[in-house]
Amino acid sequence: MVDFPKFEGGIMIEVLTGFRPGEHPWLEQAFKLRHQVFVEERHWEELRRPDAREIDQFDGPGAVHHLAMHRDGIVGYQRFVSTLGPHLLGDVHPHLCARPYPKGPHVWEWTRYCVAPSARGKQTAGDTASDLMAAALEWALPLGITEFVLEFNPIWINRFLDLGYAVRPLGLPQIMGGEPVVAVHMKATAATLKTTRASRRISGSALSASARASLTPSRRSIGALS
Amino acid sequence: MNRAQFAFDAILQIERASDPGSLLNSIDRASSQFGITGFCIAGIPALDPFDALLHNWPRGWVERYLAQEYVRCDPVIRRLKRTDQPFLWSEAPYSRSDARAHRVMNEATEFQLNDGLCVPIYTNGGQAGVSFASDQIDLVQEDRAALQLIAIYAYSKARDLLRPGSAVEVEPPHLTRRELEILKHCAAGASSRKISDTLSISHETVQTHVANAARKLNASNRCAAVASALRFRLIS
Repeated sequence: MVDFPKFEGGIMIEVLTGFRPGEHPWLEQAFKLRHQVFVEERHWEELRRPDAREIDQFDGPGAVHHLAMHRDGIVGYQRFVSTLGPHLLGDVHPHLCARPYPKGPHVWEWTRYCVAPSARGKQTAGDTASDLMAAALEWALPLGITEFVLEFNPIWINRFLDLGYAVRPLGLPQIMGGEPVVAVHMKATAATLKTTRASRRISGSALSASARASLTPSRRSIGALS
Repeated sequence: MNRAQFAFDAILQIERASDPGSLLNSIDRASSQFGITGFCIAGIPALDPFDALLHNWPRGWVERYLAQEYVRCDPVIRRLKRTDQPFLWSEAPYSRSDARAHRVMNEATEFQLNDGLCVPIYTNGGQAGVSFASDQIDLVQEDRAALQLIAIYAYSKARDLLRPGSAVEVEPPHLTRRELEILKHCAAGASSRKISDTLSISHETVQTHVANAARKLNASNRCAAVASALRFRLIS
């Protein structure tokens, strides 16, 4: 069991893309966090690896990784993969879909959302959890990404509806590995960003300065976001 | 039945509802396909009282439930707080020595609410539940999955349309005495010809009353009108 840093505040979301496993130290932390949460806690045994790094075939250089970084290490994570290439829902779990979903540069698959145990819980009011939600949109919208496909426990549908997303189920919930899973296609708008940000306790961007700078060369676009 | 497609269509109807009455009708129509006779959408605030947002359960049962504060000892509520998956009322455990729990489950049956499917709902504002009840529940896994999706969107829409704290009980449609009388004859299997003979009114008049009743009940034909009237307990 890996020991993760105790939450003390001061989390910023970093965005990494263009790296393969082994090519960035933060990414290594992310793979270890994923192993702890998805293999050790959630018992997704098919993902277990002897080196305790949870890595799958979609962790190529095209994947976009969001890492919630505390000064002592990673406390949260999520991953985005383009629907134009291989992705989980299309390639591994198509049986979850009873109807088609759009694929394109504006539609990305959102997976492996997780928060380290030390950063969960009421005392932090779920900050890292909400930060990741806000970061998803702050990264996506300036890039023209407005739609996501996800697989999750059906109880998440109401949460995303509350955050202002339009959520469309793609199939009936099914039991997979003992857990209920439903595939959905979601649309976000600027209103969604507003609602999502309002659900956080802290105002301002969830993304780190360097993450924001990497999104667009135009300073004006960044200003328009906040 | 293609349950996925059915659920998708039901969700579309629910999202289009513009007032509590049409929302209730959409939920009722969708759930009746699974043999459900009534539903209840309720929030479970951290402290009581139980917040019934929208339902079509017998008023007598809801009144008794609130007056007796059954939310405190209802095994369904207890299970609801501890799970994120839909479950049958008959799957909500309680010990036989728990007299109050036993009483709640028993008294519900007096209103033909013998069993139900309870769908837990989790939102950023807290927890809620949607129960679908009937005198007899016979659901396969895919039925439960479809009802779970319907419940999720029904709750979201109910929250949109209703202020929290204002329970809305939609009145059943108001049928005239004559319309009810004729529907009772229909329920007994009488043809329009036979009804017109029995009541000494013209055949056309019978047809008109049936059509009016069907329209008020949002039913597309005589058979559906009878089913609807039975469900609203307008006739027995």
